[in-house]
Amino acid sequence: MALYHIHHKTIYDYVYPVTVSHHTARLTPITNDFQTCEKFDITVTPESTDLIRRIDYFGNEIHFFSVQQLHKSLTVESQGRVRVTAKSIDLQILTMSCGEIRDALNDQQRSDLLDAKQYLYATEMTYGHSAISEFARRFLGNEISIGEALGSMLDIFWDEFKFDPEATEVSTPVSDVLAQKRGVCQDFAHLSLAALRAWGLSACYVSGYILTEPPAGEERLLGADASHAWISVFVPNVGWVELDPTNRKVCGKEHIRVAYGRDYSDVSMLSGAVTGGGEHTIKVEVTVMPMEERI
Amino acid sequence: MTSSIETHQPSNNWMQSYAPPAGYYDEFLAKNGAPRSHWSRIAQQFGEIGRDQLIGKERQLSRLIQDNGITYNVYQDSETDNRPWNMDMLPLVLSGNEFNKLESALTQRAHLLNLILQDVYGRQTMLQGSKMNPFLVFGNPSFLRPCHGLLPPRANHIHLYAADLARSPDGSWWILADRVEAASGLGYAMENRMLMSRLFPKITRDNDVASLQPFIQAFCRHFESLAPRNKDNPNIALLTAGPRNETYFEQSFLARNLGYTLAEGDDLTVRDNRLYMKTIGGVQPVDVLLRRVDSAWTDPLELRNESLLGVPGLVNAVRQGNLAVANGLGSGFVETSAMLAFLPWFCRSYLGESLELPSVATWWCGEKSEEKYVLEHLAELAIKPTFWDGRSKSYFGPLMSSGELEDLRNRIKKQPELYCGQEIVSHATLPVMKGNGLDSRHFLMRVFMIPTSGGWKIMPGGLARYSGYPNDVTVSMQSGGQSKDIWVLQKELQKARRQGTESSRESIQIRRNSNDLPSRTANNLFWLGRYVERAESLTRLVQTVCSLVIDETAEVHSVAVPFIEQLMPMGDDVGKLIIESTGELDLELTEGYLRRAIYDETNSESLIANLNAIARTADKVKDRLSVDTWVRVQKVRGLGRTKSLAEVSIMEDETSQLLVQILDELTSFSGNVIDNMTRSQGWRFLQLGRKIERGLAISFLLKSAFSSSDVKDERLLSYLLIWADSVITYRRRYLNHLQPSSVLDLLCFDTSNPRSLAFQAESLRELLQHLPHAQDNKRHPIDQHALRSFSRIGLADPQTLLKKNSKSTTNKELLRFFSNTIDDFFLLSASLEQTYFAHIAMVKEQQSKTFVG
Repeated sequence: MALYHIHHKTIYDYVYPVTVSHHTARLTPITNDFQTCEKFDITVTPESTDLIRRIDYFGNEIHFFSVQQLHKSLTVESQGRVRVTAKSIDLQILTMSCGEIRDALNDQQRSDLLDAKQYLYATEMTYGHSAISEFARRFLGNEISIGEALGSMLDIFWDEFKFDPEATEVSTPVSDVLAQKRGVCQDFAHLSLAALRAWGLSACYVSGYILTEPPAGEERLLGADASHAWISVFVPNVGWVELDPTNRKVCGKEHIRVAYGRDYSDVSMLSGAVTGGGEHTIKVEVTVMPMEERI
Repeated sequence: MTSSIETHQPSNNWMQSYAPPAGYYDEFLAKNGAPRSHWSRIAQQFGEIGRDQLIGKERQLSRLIQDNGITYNVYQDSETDNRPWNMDMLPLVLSGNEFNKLESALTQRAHLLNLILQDVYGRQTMLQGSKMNPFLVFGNPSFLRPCHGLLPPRANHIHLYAADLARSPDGSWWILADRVEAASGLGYAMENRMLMSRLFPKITRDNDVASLQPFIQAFCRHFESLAPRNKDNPNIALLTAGPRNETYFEQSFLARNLGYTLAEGDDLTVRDNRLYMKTIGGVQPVDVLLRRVDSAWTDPLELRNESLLGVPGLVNAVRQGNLAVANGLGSGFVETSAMLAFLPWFCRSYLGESLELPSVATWWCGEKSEEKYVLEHLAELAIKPTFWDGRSKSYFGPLMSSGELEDLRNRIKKQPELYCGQEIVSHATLPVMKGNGLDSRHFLMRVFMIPTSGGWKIMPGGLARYSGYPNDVTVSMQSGGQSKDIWVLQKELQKARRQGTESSRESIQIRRNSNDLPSRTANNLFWLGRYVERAESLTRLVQTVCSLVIDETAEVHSVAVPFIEQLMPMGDDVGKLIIESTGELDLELTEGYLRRAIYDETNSESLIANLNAIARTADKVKDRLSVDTWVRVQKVRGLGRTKSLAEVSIMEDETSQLLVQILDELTSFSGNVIDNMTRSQGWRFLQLGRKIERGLAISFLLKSAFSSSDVKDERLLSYLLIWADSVITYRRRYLNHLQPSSVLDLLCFDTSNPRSLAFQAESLRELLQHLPHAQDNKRHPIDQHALRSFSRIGLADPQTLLKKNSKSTTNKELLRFFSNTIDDFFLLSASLEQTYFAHIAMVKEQQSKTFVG
């Protein structure tokens, strides 16, 4: 069990005044089998008069708001307290074979698996051609147990892929990520999803935060954390198994989950459509603070 | 058929020359070769029309099409290629009985499609059974998750249903496709009927052809009834993708005829979860949106975020119950080709019935046995993508080479779930007019249905489309297809439909507040006016300089300097135009400036750039321009493509002829606008643009001229009059006695001279009185600028302005006067933009990428 305080602040600065802007925010940590969000609030400056909250198709909380007064800067700030109870499981215990799982997911009679089938198909951001399928075959196989396959997948990302924020953009296709073997957590999540789905497994995209440890002997820097992304794979009889390809981890209590979707576009933490404004710059400050450290 | 039109062979009834091919159902002739009974009287009456008369009708038809500007955009990526609409003068005649049966069968189908949509955007029970593969829902790009749970207006997703039908050899109808996403064709059907009743008023009347009016009225009542608010007088807008859309014409036609405002995404805005139209009178609420933009593109915030066609927040306005959008957002789901394969199953499981009208047989390759069948019969089938997206296309087995078939086979094997096989149905034939007789064509028919309080109603009519070639069964308006009006004989139509169930209101009243002109349109018209005037002024400047250089001797050339100054980039020194040693004009330098001012595309102030700007801007307001005005725009567009010939001097004939042509077209454009455009708010904005630009041009030129040392030179004065096209007026008033003060008076202060500064100021004041801001009693900044400019010009005294300080060579008072009028016009323009156009800035998507991972 771990208790976290999350502070997430995003500041948009525009060159020219914005006359009206509309935004969506998926910033509320989700409450599910792995964690409970005990407290959450969101503030928008300048003030929004029409903040609406609802649960989206995937079960995530989403806030809509617009700013209708002339502004050159917009700040969205959220704070939350999350109790994480998830345990990192040992992949060894997942003995069902990949082939069996695929067959179950492709069985039209199994309407009990409908929820998992939502995440079975490629999306625009996880669209795979033959190179992706070939990549998938490096760790997936009919006879291989799913635990072993996912373990190899994590190893491949850890050994062969390099974390490089300069290498990609939001729109970089997964085939490019595979070719250059560089990218950020979002790219690794998309690529692993593309491979798993191309092979016939069901997996979804998770957005959230991860606890980072300050260098030994140093104090935690406020605002120095960032949002994170990983994946969740469906295993019949077990449920959803969350994996972090960027950090070679089976997710447990160090990950704080915010939203689930088919890919980034379903869960982006903040997006908007603005009228006016010209070029803009974004400044983001995230702090993931374990509660015992909080003063 | 070679007989010429001139041979007058009496009683040779041209309707009798028809011989349809065997093996198909023919609409006109029964198997025994005799006209079908519902045709006989109409066929006889058409047959009695003499050939000369027919030719006359044909001319009348193309004139009507031209006058009404009826077009179909052939290529979506071209702004120019609008092809005139094609309509055959012979209608497709169908019996009322047939339409009764169609109405019943299509009612079942519309109802069924609605249930499917309710299910997929609701409980999704269709996936509980084992029949429907989840891929067709979860993998379907037309299934829009943000629309899940969204309550459509009156719990109905479909408010206008169109179906494409083909008739098989045994006379029964097949459904080829259902259109619910953004069904087109209703406008064209209304247009065709309008044309037919003008061409053949007597035949239409005599035969009791069912009128479309009751249906259209029911349509209007239905859409009004959808309004969640403002129910007594709802505001309805038609959302269009804009002039580049292939059916833009019919969208603007529909909007005009139904009294709806035609709106592009940029015209609309969501505030506090309500939809508003941005007009010159401020934002005005919209209650119902008739959508002709595909669902996925209607809201960049929640749906496709790269969309520039939509309105951010639109989905939320619907979700909050403040707006009705029809057809319902996401309803394109049922247009998925693979859905046709599952309809019989849906019909049985939802309604416990079998389909009254069969769909064309469709096999979805996502099922093993279906894939096998399709691969075995590939050469006989049409192959369609399971989901439509920008990349997908359909294939026509019989038209493919064995190599192409093999290629397709491999692609299907690789991803079978992405393909559907479809039977190629035989389309019935109908007679079309050709030369002196008739020819046969395969056709398909689009019919329209709406839900009313008394159940689904079919429009007794529709759009028949046929191929441009005999034996061709693919019918597409894109590849040279043609259309026909459909006449349904009233006699047998169910009584209820004949009168329309509800008390029919007389013709649709178009109530329109003149202030509901969309801001974007006002802005475009304003700039169209400015570009046209700017191009004219530029042309006159170049012409003046050319004739001055050609006609006058070298020592006089220097009087051209003030004119050339207008063509030079800001900040260039005028002094260098004169060669110091000789005191003469540097002709080489002048030539360079002229070339740049005419031809340089990279110079946004050049004549060519202005012509292109005219064409570009006119495209955006095409529906506001008359056909004749549009013809001028097309000419201007053509002239805008002229390239400079580097080796030929500007002073040569090529350029001077080009300038004459340009001036001609611009003058006719302006003449057309003055003669033909209604004095609406739109017209006022166009005129405001012209007047402001002309006021600026006069001020700039006179400022240069009167600060030049040649100001007393009679030749400078006379060329000023030539530029301002005021020579004759001047002569009549002052004879040939050229004096600075009288020239100044005529070009600045004479309110009766349409090219004077005072005239521009006075027209501006008159135009501004009618704009929305003038309806408030408060004085608006716009009026302050206009008033300042008007009184400055009205109160100025030419004698005082020309009085010179003896020491100085230039006249400071006069220069200050022109500087001030220039400022006045700029300020007026800026405050017009601020007041009327400011809220139309483009919407941009914004996503932040902020990961460390």
